[in-house]
Amino acid sequence: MPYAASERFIIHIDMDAFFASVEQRDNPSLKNKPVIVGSDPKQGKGRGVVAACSYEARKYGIHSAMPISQAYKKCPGAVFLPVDMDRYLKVSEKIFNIINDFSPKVQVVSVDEAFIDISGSWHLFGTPEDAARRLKERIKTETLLNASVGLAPNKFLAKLASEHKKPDGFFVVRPEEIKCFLETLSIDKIYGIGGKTAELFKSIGIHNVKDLAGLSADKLVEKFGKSGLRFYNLARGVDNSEVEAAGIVKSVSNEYTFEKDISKNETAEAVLLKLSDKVAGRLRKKSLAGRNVSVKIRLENFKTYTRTKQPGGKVNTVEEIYSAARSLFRDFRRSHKSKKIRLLGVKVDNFKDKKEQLKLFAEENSQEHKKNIRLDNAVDKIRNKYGDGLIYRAGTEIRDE
Amino acid sequence: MKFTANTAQFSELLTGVLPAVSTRSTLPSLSHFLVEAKSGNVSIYATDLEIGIESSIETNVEKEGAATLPARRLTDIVGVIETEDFALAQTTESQCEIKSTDNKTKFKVMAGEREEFPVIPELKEDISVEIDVERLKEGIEKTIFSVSRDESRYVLCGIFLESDGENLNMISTDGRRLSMFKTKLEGNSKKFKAIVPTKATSILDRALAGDEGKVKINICDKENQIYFSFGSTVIYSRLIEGDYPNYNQVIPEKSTRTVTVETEAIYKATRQMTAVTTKSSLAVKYKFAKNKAVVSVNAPEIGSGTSSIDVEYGGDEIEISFNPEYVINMLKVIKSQKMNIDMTTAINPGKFTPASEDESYTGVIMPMRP
Repeated sequence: MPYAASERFIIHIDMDAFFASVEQRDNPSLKNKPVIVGSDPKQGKGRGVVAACSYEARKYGIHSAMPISQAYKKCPGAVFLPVDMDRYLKVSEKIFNIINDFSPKVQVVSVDEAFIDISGSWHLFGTPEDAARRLKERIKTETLLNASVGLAPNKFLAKLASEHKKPDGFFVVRPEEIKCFLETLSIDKIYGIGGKTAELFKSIGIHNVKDLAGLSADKLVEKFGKSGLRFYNLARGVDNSEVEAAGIVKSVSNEYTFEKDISKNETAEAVLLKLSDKVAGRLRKKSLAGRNVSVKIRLENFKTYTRTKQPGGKVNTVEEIYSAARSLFRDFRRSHKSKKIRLLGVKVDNFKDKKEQLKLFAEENSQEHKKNIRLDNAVDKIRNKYGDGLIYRAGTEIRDE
Repeated sequence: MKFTANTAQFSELLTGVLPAVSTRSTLPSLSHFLVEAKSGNVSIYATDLEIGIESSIETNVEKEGAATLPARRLTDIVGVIETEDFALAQTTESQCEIKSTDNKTKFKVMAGEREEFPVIPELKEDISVEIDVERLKEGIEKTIFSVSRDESRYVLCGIFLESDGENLNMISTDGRRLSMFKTKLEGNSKKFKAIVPTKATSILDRALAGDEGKVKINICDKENQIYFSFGSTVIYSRLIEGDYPNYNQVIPEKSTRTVTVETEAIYKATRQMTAVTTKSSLAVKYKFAKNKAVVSVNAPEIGSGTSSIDVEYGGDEIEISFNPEYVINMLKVIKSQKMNIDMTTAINPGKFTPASEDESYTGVIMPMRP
């Protein structure tokens, strides 16, 4: 056997232009056309962002997370489609079912991206390379979608490998090839080296990973503190981070960008109620409840604030989440009265069970609370049967200002 | 108005009424005492509209009358007079003069608007009972520490008094622990229920210090008010409106495991363990096995600790975790040398009672999730 038992084999898989590819797959007339999935561009006046775009659209310089208005300017003739998350999630589920056949150690990064540790399971498929290739092929035959796959001894290199030949890529970094593979890469490929840090490196003559590898650990630590040590290791292809087992949801959140920046608190609170409703519904679907409720507020000047509180115990009803979110929002507004609001978000996290003080009265569980739970359960049932649009809370209607 | 009084006695009188003076009120008159002199008697009255205290002394009144005077200033002034007696006289409509009897020290103080001072609620009564001062003090001491401080649960922010007419139950709970004290009333009355705000009970507790004899309790349901009268003092308070939760249902009646232990021993062991508890590793674990208990803490970020004590116990082994502060607070009020702890499982409430029949107290603590 050519591989030592201690060797790690990590796959990084990333679907190519996932949302756009699903759209093109399901509607052949979209093939070979620039397809942009995201919010409504409204003739260039739309305010959301690009969620995904086909490779044809990328030729126009469009990329995901770009403001939709900018994408529209770059390619007004593109096919703009709304995000049909339910459909993508179904496809994603299929993909993850395939992935789970290769290893139980899967770290879900997003609906279309994952790390898979096949160190203990590759021998079922021949070689580690056979396993990775088989994964890519099964996804292609069973979903008709292209995935880019990278195989390497650790997560950092696996991700670089899958990016290396994207789209429809397949690339393996073997231990003896690490140095050669890294040398040519530009410095911003290292985790944690983005805009400003990259500038800083360039100013001291460090342009690519090879240059970085020339710096001593001491020097890096002196300049960048703890991160310096990480840079030192990554520049040598060393990354001991584990593939974190699958399916652990750490938070549930939802946000909303206003068509036009708003200034009235009533409008904001209506949206907070709507977001709380969505978050609560999703928490209950996953049988989760969290200790922390956060609101995210982005003002017209793009400054973004996050405020968090613990309402006491674990929450997953609309009433609990909304009342925490509203009080956070009102506190925030007291000190930021005049600015208009661009975006609002609600998040619930901190799901861990801890040694917590139990309550004497089941009431806390007061009548009111029990009623809220019953109400939410009833709403869940209706939504499961007839879809999300049929029933919604009064007070979530957003009026024009 | 004009009177003379013993400086020390009068000073004590003012200090006793001061707790009812509002500290942050928008109504200036609430920072004043109402001083009233009437036929050989001077009374001081203060209120923050929730609570009022009226207290008086017998003294030599030369001229009857009343004035509202700044409470803290008056207390300070009387406090610095060095002669045994002093004199207070209203010199004009809006001014009083206070002077030592040797005429060496003199103060002039602006009086407030008499009309703006709130009207003293008239004592109306639906219920009138008497209780021994010692019993009332014991009841307050044994319940006041477990009232809720969470104002959003206002019905729990006071001591609940419940009586069938002969017996009085005093209860407090913050939703995690509960204290109950039972005593007998003197004489009979109608049934009653009242939630007395924490502030009123702590003022009452202080005022009762050193007092003996009986306290008369009057409750006026219609006005939602309670009056405690003793000696020459009346404390009245608004009652908390609302329904107190059904406390009986959370006091375990039967238990499968009863441990008897020296109160002091388990108190000490719990105190010792708090040396290593932290905010995130707060729980103290109690493991009861045959005639032995191990009290322990495991705080990953600090370390751990154990303390073993002898107990009287023959049941199945049980491990249960409590917030040590709750345990300590309870053990402090149990005076009997031995006490019982009743438990069923690690997630059901534990009941703490004195082993002696002579002492009344029932404490209930909800455990921490193991």
